[in-house]
Amino acid sequence: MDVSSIFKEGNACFPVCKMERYIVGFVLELMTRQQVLDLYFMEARSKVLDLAAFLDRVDRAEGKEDFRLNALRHAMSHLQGRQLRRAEKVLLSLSDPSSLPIERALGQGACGAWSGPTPDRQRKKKSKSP
Amino acid sequence: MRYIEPHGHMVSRTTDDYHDMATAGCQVVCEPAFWAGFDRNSAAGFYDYFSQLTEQEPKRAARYGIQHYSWICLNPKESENLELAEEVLSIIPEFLAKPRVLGVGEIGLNKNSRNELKVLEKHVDIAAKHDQLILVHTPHLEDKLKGTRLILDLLRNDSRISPERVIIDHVEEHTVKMVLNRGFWAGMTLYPESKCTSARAIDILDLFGTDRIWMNSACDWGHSVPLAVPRTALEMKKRGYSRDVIDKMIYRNPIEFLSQCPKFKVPEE
Ligand SMILES: [Zn+2]
Repeated sequence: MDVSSIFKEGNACFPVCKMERYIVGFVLELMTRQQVLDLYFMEARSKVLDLAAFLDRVDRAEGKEDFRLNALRHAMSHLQGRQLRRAEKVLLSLSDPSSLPIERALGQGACGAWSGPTPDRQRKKKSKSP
Repeated sequence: MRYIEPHGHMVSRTTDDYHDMATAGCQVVCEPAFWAGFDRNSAAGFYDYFSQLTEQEPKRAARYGIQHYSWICLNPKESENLELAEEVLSIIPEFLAKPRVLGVGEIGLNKNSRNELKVLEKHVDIAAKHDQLILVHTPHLEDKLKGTRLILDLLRNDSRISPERVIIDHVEEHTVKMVLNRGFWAGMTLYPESKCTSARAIDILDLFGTDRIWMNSACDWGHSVPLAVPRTALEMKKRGYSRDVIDKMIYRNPIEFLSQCPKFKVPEE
């Protein structure tokens, strides 16, 4: 599909492609891959670099790490491959998977990662063991 | 552009923010009661805060041509002290009767504790008894998934609550589907770090459509952006959303939900 010449009426800055998805009530014109890359590639590149530099910074520092680093590494494993719903999988990987309320909240805030086992981390462990 | 900021903690913001929001097209701001960043020690402290929300803040917003509404409750972060919670719950009905109060919110869970659940249940009971809309805060980060499930179960077990009169806020990719599938409204909070970015919020619209969903900045005393809604509208435009769909997302959808409260007045064109 040639999308390079398709622009929304009167606004050459904002290209819109022909691929349409029908959602209740309106037609959604999704962007092409090329358009998504044009709009978001530099931002994604910058975020990958920040992540790489963060991991280097952690490695250069002295002392022990806590569970968050391991949780982040597991979460990052969902970026590999071509399966969809990566954002959802990353969030699930960092989430408390339990279902019962805790006894008391003692003033602690959330830290961004669950300290215990999560289903995806357990699956990984199993598949690694002989 | 015209828009509604359906969730902003304006008591934490400066008049510059009101000015910027009005300039960007903000017509209405709705302010849920929330945590001050420290635990309040007395019911009198809450009384003063609720008075600020219902009396002072509407006047401040009006100077910029913005209508101000509020939601009243005790924040889940302040639910561990059940004795104080009971005292605060007892003053809530007085404020629910005020002319610019839309309902009970933002109630919900924070760390998913037993006492938080107890207080949530009491809030839901007050909302049902006083026929109020409900705005729900879902927990942060790693606690969100579990908290959202607990909240949805609690709400569904109360037959007096109609899901279309409840908005579950701060949804992300792992919680939006369960909220919408059960008939509730969903709110996406546009935060620079800890909740949805503009790009991810629009991804959610790509996947789930634009019915029963709104976007808010939830701007407060923390790292947040009061103009997050109009900025996301601009990004929707870049991504090919029509002017009409953008208007639905940032203006007509909030009106559709909020108009279920007879006190809410649609801004005059
Ligand atoms: Zn809030």
